Amino acid sequence: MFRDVAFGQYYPANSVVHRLDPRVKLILTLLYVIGIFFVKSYFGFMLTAALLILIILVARLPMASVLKSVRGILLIVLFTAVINLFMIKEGDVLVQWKIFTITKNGVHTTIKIVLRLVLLISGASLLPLTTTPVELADGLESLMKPLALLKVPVRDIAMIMSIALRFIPTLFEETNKIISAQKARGASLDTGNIFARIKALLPVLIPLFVNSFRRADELAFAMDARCYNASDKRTKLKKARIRFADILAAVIVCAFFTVILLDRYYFGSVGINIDAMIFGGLL
Amino acid sequence: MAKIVVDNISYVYPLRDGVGLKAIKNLSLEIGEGEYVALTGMNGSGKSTLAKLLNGLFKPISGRITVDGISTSDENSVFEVRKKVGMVFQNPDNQTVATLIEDDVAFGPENLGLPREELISRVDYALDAVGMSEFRGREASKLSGGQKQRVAIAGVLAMRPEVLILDEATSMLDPEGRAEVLDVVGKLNKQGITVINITHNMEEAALARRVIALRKGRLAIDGTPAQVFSSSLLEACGLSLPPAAALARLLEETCDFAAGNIIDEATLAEEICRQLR
Repeated sequence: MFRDVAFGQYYPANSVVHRLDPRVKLILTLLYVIGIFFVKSYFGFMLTAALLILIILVARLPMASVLKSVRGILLIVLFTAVINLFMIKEGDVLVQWKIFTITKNGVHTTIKIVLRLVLLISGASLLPLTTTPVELADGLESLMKPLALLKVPVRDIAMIMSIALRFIPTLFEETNKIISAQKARGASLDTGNIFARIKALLPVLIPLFVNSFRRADELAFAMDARCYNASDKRTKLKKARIRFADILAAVIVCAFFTVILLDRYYFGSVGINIDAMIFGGLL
Repeated sequence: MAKIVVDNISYVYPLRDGVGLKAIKNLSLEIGEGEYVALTGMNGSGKSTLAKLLNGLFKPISGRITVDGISTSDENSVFEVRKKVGMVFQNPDNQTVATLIEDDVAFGPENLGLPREELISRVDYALDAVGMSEFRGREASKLSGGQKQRVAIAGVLAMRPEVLILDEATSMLDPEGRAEVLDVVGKLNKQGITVINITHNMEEAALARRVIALRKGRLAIDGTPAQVFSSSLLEACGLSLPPAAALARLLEETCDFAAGNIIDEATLAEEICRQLR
């Protein structure tokens, strides 16, 4: 039953976004995340949201799968929002009740922080949603290659990552077997309070760990037998290629990043206020 | 010239306080090119240790093993030996390195640093040889035991080995999976690959043309299956007869059946029919 859950957030679909080179996706996600921190105006947030919705539509992801990742940080968002709302004292006062003051500045800052967090998390979640863990590991390895010059063992790190991913289903299967075996011996794993349950997990975790070490040992033999480390240069069966869609995606995200930077540093200084143009006196 | 020469080797598993467990004691044997050898013996007899010595995973503490004249003890040439001597282990889950089947088969050749075109042709050849071509893009974890073990064999074949060692490779499989694997192994042997099958299963041992039985780290019996199964040392080695041979002996005891050196069902059936007439 764990088997498919194990492959994390990946949402299988046949879309252009899914087929993008993982390296390109990694870099563009990073660029998007950096970009969000430069967004200052409502126009910027609208642009970001538009880009996000565009990607979600092209990737054929259901909105629910993206919102699921936002749900995880809902508490943090609420907490930050409340703190900001009441702590900012500058600007025109809107509400004043006992020690609580809400200012116009506070409302704006709060809305922007909530928008920023939600857009940040849902944007970042697109990467694991559209990329398999194996592709991610391959992409990371490829991007880390320059670090090999600094004597970072890139090849070994990549091997560790891919083996860890490879053993997720195996270990889940094993966990289920051990749980069944312990239940057959009378262990009760899903009754009692939280502490009782954590304690009840020990007889599952210990055999799991012991077995993992045994597996690691055997795997090491199997890898040695197949000449691991025989040559300084490992070659790869699969080679990621940059295609037209990758370039297009890069152009779109770079354009977004440029507009965000212009909005923050240039439009204001030449007297263009897009927020005022769109919302008029609303703000 | 013999393919593998084992010359008076000993091996000790290091334990605590400088004490060791003697696993192999003064063992010598030769295995010729293209042979199909079954290596057997009870638990702790040193079979698996010998297998790991044959491709340089372990190094003998005394004596010498050579494959095509290359020593397994030499750090510089050990990869040459491992290229020639491929090994399939007992648990298919613990020898699969990659998630996808084709990536796993490519692991060995990738380690050798072969160019990409060569990798592709080797993966094609190896998957075809074990009849798993149609599964190449699938996840290894979703296969049956027999299929996983065939993929493991493909992973070894992709290195183009001259010797294939199976270290109890069928012991975790169901009868169907076992038959699949043995079928592939038989075909590979016919193509000229030397096969060393380490097994507890006497029916499987009877498939080989030569059976070697170890006992407490020493060579106990070495001969054709017929010779080995009529050996007086069989019981001392903790071995039993294959079912057909056991039945033939029983017939010999209960009626006037002449059992001879029968070890497989087909011969037994023929012999029963002949003697009934």
